[in-house]
Amino acid sequence: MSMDDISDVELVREFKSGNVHAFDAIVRRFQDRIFRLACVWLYDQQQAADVAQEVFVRGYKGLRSFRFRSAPFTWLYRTTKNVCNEFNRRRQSEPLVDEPGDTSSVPEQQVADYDGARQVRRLVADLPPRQREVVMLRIFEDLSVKETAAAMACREGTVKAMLYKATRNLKLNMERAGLDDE
Amino acid sequence: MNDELNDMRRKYRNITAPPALATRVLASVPKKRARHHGWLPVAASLVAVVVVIGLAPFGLLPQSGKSSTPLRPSLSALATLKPVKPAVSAPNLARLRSVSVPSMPAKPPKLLKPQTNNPIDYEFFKEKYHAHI
Repeated sequence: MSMDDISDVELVREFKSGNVHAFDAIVRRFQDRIFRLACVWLYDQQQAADVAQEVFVRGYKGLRSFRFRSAPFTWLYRTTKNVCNEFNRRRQSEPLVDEPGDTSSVPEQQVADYDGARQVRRLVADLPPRQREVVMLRIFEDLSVKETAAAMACREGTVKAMLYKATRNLKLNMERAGLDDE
Repeated sequence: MNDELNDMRRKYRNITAPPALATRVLASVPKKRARHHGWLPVAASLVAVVVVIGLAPFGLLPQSGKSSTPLRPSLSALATLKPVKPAVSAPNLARLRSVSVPSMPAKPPKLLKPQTNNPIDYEFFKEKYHAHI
């Protein structure tokens, strides 16, 4: 059985037991999700890549003492959030909705990625932080209510309530944006 | 709203990490896993034992003639030794007897009238006895 076929928990278990290929598999499995989240929470993709790198470097040290009380992605998600907060603290003066700089030299795929991330960022920018998190995890990352609750360290009922409010706010924001466009 | 959200979600999920990210990450973590150092105390004690065994003959060899340190006594010589008890002086009984003791106080004078130790009124019992007859 290859590393790509086993579950997240088993993969981390392999890493903890000293399998040298397990960490490569962890990076390959989670890099897109970590990078996407960082793209939305940060200002440019270069920083998002830096954040993802930092998250995995911390994961290399931290996952050795992982106790499996939560899912491995939950651990990585919290680390991503912390690292993004650290990066954002350095640029506190800048607004969350940030226009891209000169993208003429970057590949087409990266420009499309950046555009997608920018749209999501615009959508959730007006939401309160906790609602923003719920939308990102539950709607965009497609986590279950239970997983979202674990990642946000709250109850499932809280997640449902926040998701309801967030969806209502999103609807209002989108209607307002539609009116503004007209 | 749902269509817009789904479209946005699709775009979001199309975002992929740069291809060099994995290489960057793997280059930034240490190549070798941290080694377990549990064998170090064992190795250290082994080295210590080897050193002691290797140097012991030189250290324990009696130096000829002018040795300033005395030879080690053998076990048989140690067995013949008797423990030296510390000298304890016996108590001097004569001195203990000659200690002067103060005299006892004088006894109080005896009472002149004899007193009964039983102050029960026997007349009362006599009357009772007659009453029941």
